[in-house]
Amino acid sequence: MPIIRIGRTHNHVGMRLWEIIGRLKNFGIGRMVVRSAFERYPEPTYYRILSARPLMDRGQPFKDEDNMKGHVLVERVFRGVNMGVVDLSRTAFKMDYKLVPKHEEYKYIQAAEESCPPEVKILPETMEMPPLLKILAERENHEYKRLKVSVKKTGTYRIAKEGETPTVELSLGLGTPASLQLYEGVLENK
Amino acid sequence: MNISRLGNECLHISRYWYPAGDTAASILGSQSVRWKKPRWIPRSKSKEFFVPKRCKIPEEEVIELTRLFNKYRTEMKSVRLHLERENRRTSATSELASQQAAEEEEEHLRLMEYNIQENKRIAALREKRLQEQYETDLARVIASKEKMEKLELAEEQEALRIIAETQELVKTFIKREDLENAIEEAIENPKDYNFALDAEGQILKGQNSLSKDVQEDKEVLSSRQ
Repeated sequence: MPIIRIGRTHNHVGMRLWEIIGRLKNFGIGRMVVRSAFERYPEPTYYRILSARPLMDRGQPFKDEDNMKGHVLVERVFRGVNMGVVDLSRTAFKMDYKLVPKHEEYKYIQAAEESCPPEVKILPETMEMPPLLKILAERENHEYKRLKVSVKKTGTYRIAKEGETPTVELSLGLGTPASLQLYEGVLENK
Repeated sequence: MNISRLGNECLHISRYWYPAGDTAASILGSQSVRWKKPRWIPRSKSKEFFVPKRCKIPEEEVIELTRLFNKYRTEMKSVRLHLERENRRTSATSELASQQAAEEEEEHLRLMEYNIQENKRIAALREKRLQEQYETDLARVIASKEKMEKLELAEEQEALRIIAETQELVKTFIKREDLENAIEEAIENPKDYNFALDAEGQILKGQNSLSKDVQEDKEVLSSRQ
């Protein structure tokens, strides 16, 4: 009997990892799975299952706790970069996994080898203060008259070092719109 | 009226509003009201299987909103970092604050020393002034004392003089044993104390005396000045 899902929809496309694993020989060790949520990146993202211990026969599928829990270790390649062995147990219940057929695995591997890391954006070290804070800083004699830019340590952004030219300009106001068509009749008047 | 209908009516009334909490009313004296269907009322029959459509945001709008949010977060994070650093610099436990406290303590000690010196100076001035005042008072008291002594001496002499005069006067008093003689002498020698005045102011002694009997050196009544 086919399952008809009613109610609100979500962005996930695929099956739970436990469903895929449960149908494969030897719990799918050595097989490649992908998540649809990471297909938005140009670089490939995939997992290779190393070990799996699903908790099976816990109740009815989609009703109780069947296909919901277990322990799984995978080798993770995220955006073309091998991140090593990770524990995927906490997100394996999401209905977002797809099994890659063996004859298509080479596509992902090849794309990962060919992909180059995304360009790192370089932000300036300091930026201008908002007007009110500027007045406050002058009145209360703050130590710094410009804001020090603070970013998280990710692979996509970093602060410019000494003598380096920033590739991203940080300025107060609107900045450079990514979609100009949204500002039709607004920016032209200025 | 059956029971189910009564229940429905009660339900209908309770659908308008109900208090959201008990503790808030007792503590603050105000009552929070939830103007909604209570949580235990199920979804209405007409909307039981209704699934709202997911709104689709256009791609360019998503990109632009993502950019604006990233920008906002970066700026806010920088502002927060700036305020944190400034707070760390100027807070009570910061180096600047401890330095300021040390400076204030030093200034306080300096002012206390100045205060002590000033008190000493004022004390010396006061001592000098009080000494001068004491000397002045002493001189005044001595002068006053001398003056009073002189006055007392004068009064004493005056009193002695009065006593002496009175003693002289007492000698003229008629004694008891001489009283008879004195009376007889007075009777024998009557005295006329009456007198008259003429237009020139001359005193004419005696009640029965005549103008021809008046002596040459007539006594003239002197007017009081």
